[in-house]
Amino acid sequence: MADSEGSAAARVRDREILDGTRVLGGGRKRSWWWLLSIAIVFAIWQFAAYSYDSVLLMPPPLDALAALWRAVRDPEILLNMGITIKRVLIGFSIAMLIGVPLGYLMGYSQRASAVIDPLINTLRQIPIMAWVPLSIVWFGLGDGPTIFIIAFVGVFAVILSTIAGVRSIPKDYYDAARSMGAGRLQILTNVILPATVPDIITGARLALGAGWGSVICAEFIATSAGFGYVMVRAQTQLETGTLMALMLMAALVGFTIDRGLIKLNHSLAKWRFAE
Amino acid sequence: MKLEVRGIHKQYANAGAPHTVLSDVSLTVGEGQYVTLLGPSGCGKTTLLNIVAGFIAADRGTIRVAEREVSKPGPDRGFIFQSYALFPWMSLADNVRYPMKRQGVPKDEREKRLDDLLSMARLDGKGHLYPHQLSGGMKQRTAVVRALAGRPQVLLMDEPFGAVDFQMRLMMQEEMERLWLKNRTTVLMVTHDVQEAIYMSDRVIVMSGHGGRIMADLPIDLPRPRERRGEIYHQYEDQLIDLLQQAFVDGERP
Ligand SMILES: Nc1ncnc2c1ncn2[C@@H]1O[C@H](COP(=O)(O)OP(=O)(O)OP(=O)(O)O)[C@@H](O)[C@H]1O
Ligand SMILES: [Mg+2]
Repeated sequence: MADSEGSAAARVRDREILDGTRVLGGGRKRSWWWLLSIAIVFAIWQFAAYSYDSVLLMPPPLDALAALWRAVRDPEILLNMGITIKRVLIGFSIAMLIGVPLGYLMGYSQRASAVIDPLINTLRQIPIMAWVPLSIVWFGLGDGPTIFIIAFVGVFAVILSTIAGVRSIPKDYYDAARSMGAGRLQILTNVILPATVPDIITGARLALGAGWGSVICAEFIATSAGFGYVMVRAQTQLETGTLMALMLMAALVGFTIDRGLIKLNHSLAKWRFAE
Repeated sequence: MKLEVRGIHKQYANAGAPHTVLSDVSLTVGEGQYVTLLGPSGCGKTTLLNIVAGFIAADRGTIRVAEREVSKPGPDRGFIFQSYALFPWMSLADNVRYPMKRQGVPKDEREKRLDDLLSMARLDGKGHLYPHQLSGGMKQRTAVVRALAGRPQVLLMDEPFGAVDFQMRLMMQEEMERLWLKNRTTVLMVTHDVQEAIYMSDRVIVMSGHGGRIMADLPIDLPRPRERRGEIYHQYEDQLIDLLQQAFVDGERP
């Protein structure tokens, strides 16, 4: 705690998270090694396509890239992508609206934490996909079950990160604020909120990642629209190249969402990144 | 303003075996005096200072600032933490503005005071920096002027020079003396360093190692700004080292 105001450890942690993506992000240390790793992946892929010699099982990378180029201009695919993104954003917002206040409550009050913690830990043990059948019973087919799954899988990450953020605030900050004349409400808005922004954004990144990861799977089963649905259709029509193109698209969207949140972290918690 | 501590008792209920940290501690810091609390580790200095600040409650006793009884933390008592506790999400200038904002100091007045304080602490032009961009000495000076910005009647400090190396420590003490000579705020500071106590204080209050009592109250009669040499300085040093040894032995006896 000797360097509590530096939050040095937290800053290092942020940097490390960042380092995973810095290669494409154009940070200070721009590196081109990622090109090599992509080249290796494509080489193996090309070799596998050559050995299988079957467009159905393993289309060559160039075919998949051509399919990707078609897919990103196909209005129907884009429309379904839009449907999925909308579901993710709604589910994610619900996760934040429930998770952040609950995280504050549990981080701040030992008693609330003692009451809610066992409940959360029990629910968390149920694999998220095991909720799909019940959520269809509750919400029918379509938006309902997918949004439920996204909100549900995300809310735990948000709660846990928020709790960690609140609990890592040094007691000296509270005392300092009080001795400078801050009341309860001002301690919340002037100390707790700004101090927890980076942890909440970490939680948001995890929630969005988990939401994006499970929504497509939920859409295989529970809907007749959305990106997952388009993928199942490509599969049944034996368009393996398109299927792979869609997988690449999903990766690109997930990556873009994550970059967006890192940017948001930089602008909301710019004090951490000032050089 | 005058700070009066009267009959403070504090006990911790350490797992069935109650531990008396402070028993009937009384002391007065006169207006504009610089007083240090000296004592062996664990004797209750931080506990006493936190009670004066209102961060923890005493079992018995009263604290008066300028004849007014206080029990909660408030801007009448500025506090300088050993960790400095600067808010890392605020720039240096915003940290110093914070107590003034909380007290509703009008904007013009606030900015004027900020400029005065920053130049007093030789921090002009550094206001835009965040705490993690400051050196240890700059952080310490920021913590001092932040505490002064709210115009407290009493300044409380818990080992504000504790976390740095020897050279830095001497520099910070000199800096603190210089700042204090310009303000002459009433100060109660905790330390366990004899030289620091002599260099900084008008009076040194020595606490016993056990039972939380005051053992001695020694006025330091040296001209300011001070020097760390001379016959009288060394006499004080010998005297306080003896007292501390006694305080320590006192702590050995249950
Ligand atoms: N919250 C607490 N619960 C129980 N015992 C405590 C608590 N806080 C302090 N104590 C005990 O009270 C005694 C005095 O502690 P305090 O921190 O005031 O000492 P100190 O004089 O500031 O020591 P140091 O010079 O090492 O900082 C110690 O024996 C400590 O173990
Ligand atoms: Mg202490």
